[in-house]
Amino acid sequence: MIRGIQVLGVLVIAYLMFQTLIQWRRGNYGVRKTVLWLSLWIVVTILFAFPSVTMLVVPILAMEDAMLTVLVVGLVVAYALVYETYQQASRTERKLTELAQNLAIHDYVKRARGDPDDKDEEQ
Amino acid sequence: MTKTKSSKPIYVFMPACNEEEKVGEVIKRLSELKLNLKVHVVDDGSMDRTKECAGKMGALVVRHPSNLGQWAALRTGFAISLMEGADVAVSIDADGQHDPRDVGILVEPILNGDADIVIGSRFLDGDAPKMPKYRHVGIKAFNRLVEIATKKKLSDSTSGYKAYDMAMVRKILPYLKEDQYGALEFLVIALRHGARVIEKPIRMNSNSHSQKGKLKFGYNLLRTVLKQYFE
Repeated sequence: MIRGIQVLGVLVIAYLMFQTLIQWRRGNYGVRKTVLWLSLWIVVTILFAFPSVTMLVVPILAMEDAMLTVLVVGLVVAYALVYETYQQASRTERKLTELAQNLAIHDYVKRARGDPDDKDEEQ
Repeated sequence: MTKTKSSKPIYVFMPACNEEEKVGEVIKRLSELKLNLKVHVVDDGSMDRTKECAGKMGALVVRHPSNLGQWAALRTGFAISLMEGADVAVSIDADGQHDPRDVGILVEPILNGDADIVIGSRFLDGDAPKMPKYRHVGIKAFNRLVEIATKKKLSDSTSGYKAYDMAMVRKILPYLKEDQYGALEFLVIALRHGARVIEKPIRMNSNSHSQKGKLKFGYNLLRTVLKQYFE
């Protein structure tokens, strides 16, 4: 019997697949990144549609139910992804700060040398 | 006085964000001092006329294209000072809460070769400055944390009014990891690298406001000190 949570999971994953393809069409994702994300979504779709495939690991994880295993494992993976995203955001923020500081210093040096401002050049 | 470092100007840098009302007055009072100062305002992405006001009063202005935080502004000040070969630098708040007349008191131990970092302490000279109780408690807690991490007892580790021997700053900068809340990280790493840190009493202008003391600021300072402690 198909449970409501399975239908919801498959629908959400279908939406994420669609979003991944849009990113690829817009040129934001290369082939490698698109294939990586689509592969992940396909695996998750299989897990939601056929939770019984997790029966192999259910006893190892001491879980009672295949669907519950999918949800719990998904939650753990989500935590890992959130942490990874946080790390990535911190690195990006640091790079942006450095970039902004370098721009400020570059602009200061230019003005100290008496070079015309970009704004003046535009005028 | 052994003025081994007095031939070059003392670099004063002032992180400023939306301080058009106060920054000009601070620069004016600095210019009245009988010291060889080179004043820089690091405009941290102000939305008002801070840059124009500072420039009009004769300060050199470095402008961040967006708001990067006070510590990032200080780091930009360090970078400019090092780039121009400064020996001694002073950081001072642009909101007028620090009395510019104390610059001489702060730089003297560095010029004499007695200290590497001089902290302008608000708590050494009798009356405690007017501030909310929770800020007072927070500052004491940070002092204690710095003491635990470095064995150095300080009365005002979070003060923004400091003088620096730039040779020490040059040595410390590569070890810094924090971008936005690194003031205490800097202090802890400097002490661990053998910096001679002393405090001198400073006067405060109680009419000026300070944005410090907000929960986020406190949390991030705590985070940086604890990180240093556990590393």
